[in-house]
Amino acid sequence: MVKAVRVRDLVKRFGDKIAVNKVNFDVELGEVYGLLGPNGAGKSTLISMIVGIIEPDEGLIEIFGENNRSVESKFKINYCPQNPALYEELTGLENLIFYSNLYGITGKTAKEKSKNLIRKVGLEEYANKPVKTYSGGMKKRLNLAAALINDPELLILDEPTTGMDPRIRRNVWRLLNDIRNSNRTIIISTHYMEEAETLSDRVAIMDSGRIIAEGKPEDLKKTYAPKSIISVELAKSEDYSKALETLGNRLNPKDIVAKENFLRIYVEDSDVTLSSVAFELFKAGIKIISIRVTKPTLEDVFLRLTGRRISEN
Amino acid sequence: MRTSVIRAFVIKDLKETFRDKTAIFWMIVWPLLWLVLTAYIFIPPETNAPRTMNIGVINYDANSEYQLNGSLLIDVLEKAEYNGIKLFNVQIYENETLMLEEVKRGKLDAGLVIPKGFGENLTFYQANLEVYVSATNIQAFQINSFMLNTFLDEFSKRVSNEKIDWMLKFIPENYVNLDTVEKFLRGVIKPINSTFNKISPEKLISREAWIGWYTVGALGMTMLYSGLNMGSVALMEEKQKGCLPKILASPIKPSELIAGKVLSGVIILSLISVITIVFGIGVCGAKIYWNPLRIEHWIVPLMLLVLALMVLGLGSILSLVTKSAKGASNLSTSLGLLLAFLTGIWFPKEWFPKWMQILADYSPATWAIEAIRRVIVFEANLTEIIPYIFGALMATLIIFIAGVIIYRKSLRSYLEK
Repeated sequence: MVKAVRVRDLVKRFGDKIAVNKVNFDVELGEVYGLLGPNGAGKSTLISMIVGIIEPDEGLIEIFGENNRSVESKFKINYCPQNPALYEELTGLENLIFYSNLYGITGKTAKEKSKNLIRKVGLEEYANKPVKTYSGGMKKRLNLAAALINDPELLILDEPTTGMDPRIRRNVWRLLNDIRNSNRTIIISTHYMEEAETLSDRVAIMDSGRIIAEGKPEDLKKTYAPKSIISVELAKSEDYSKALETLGNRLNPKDIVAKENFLRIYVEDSDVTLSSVAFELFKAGIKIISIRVTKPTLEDVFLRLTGRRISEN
Repeated sequence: MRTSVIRAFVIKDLKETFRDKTAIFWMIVWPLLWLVLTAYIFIPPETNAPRTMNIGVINYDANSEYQLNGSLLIDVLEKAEYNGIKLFNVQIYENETLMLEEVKRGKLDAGLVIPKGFGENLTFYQANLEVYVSATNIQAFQINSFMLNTFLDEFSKRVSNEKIDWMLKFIPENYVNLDTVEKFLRGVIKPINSTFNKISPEKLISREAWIGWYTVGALGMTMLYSGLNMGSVALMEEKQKGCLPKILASPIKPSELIAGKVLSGVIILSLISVITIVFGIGVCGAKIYWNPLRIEHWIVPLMLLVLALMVLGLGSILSLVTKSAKGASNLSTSLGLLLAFLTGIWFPKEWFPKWMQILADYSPATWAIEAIRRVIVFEANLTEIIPYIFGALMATLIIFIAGVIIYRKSLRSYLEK
């Protein structure tokens, strides 16, 4: 069966630096595929190669079974770059009409489509105002609308919600869910865990130009993260090393991640460990503000795989 | 190539350009300001009128009993005209020191001192006359001296002729050589009777034609710096705005992008040209010849197109040595203005030293401007401008092809960077 995207042994070097290193993956038709990783992991370079902006040094990319650089395949896709690709002197509507013209959509159709999309992203009041008067969030929404102008079968989004406030981000997620429900394929790169988990059917975790793990978010968590996490908030940050020492005697130190007065303890059986963690800390005279059991996230997967947090990069 | 894509780029670029106040200032207001300054300061409306000198006169011989005297000189001075314009504003002074002071301060262009006995000497001998010419600047001194000299020469000639007429009355009418004597005497007054004829380049004789010359200059200057600017930043700006990756991800061919960019540049430059010419004629009073029935006049739009393609291509070449749109814009604007001033586009090349005129002789942009100028200012025919047309076409072909190759290569390298 034809894949929406097929990537094989993809390599891209910039001088001595390998930005993308032997990357392989497939994206199924109608699937939302998330590329998760810290800044500099190679996500944007990978996306630039998929949309045909950058030529890979090695490897193969196919979109719906065709070479990704062919004009035919480009008609089926659209790309939403990380930074808004908009003309500040033009109005929002004019920007969308311009981009629709590049896809062969002209005249009244272009105008109607552009107006509909502007409405969809909640910018109808600003449709005829120059983009230079828009806020950052408004530009991001218009940027997303521009990526939908040709009803793409494959939509590629590079960090689409970076810099948006949480309320607008959720609106965008709603919009992306609508697109997903219309049976379109989406590739979304992000460094927001929640975004990757909420939107993606499958996620590829990237680090240093490689895909280090790939699968459904739940499967990844099952495979790479512990069952549960005990989160402890200490009353004094000075107690942090004492707490590490105390718990280190009972638990594997590798399963304890500490930052300031917060501890995250990876455990398989939270029922048993929770009480003993609380008891040990109490016995050592360490005051606790809160202690609770949480479910692991993709951040924990990344942490387990690399020893670093995504947000630390 | 899809025309809808090319049209999209053209419409987008036109809207962006004409909504940008800075671009409008540099592309339209700035050259028109130059044109107005030139028309009303360098070639003021009174340029075609002869100069009128302010002259102070002191006549110490006012009570002369002779017919030829200082008062006659003053009277002729006051009445002297050229094409209906008075040549001298005469002011009579009583105080010589005061008059000389005013000459020194430049209030008077010259001062004449008619000494006592001037009438008697003029009638019987040789009269002396003191002339003081203001030398506030060398050109004014030369012009004033020339005008007064010419006048006094003419006056002397007339006085001499009067004196000969008077002398001839003393020779008997039946004297056989009377005719020869008269001719001899009149020859003594002025052995060489030279006639000076004024010949200006046929079509540059009037102020209006000069403004026409400068209108083409303003057009050339704008085309140079605006075209170089547009050519150099065409792709860099798209990248800087973050739009180039999205454009290249769309199903357009690089040739469509380049064609769109070139066409929008050509249209913008053509609009600027039309605005400049209309402004030159309508506001500054330029005289420009344009007859659509004459084939050589169609060379003008052709040369405008050639010039537009040439400067856009040159701009693309310039983009090779710059790293940002701002850098490219600064370099191309400075270079464009410099070339316009030094290659005979804005100022006549004859104003420059010989070695510098070589710049104009070998500048393809000047060839195109020269062809336009010769047609619409000098009304030249086709054969006169063929060398310019051929040179400009050949240069444009080479420059434009190089520019397109650079654009195509730049497209990739910009993104890889």
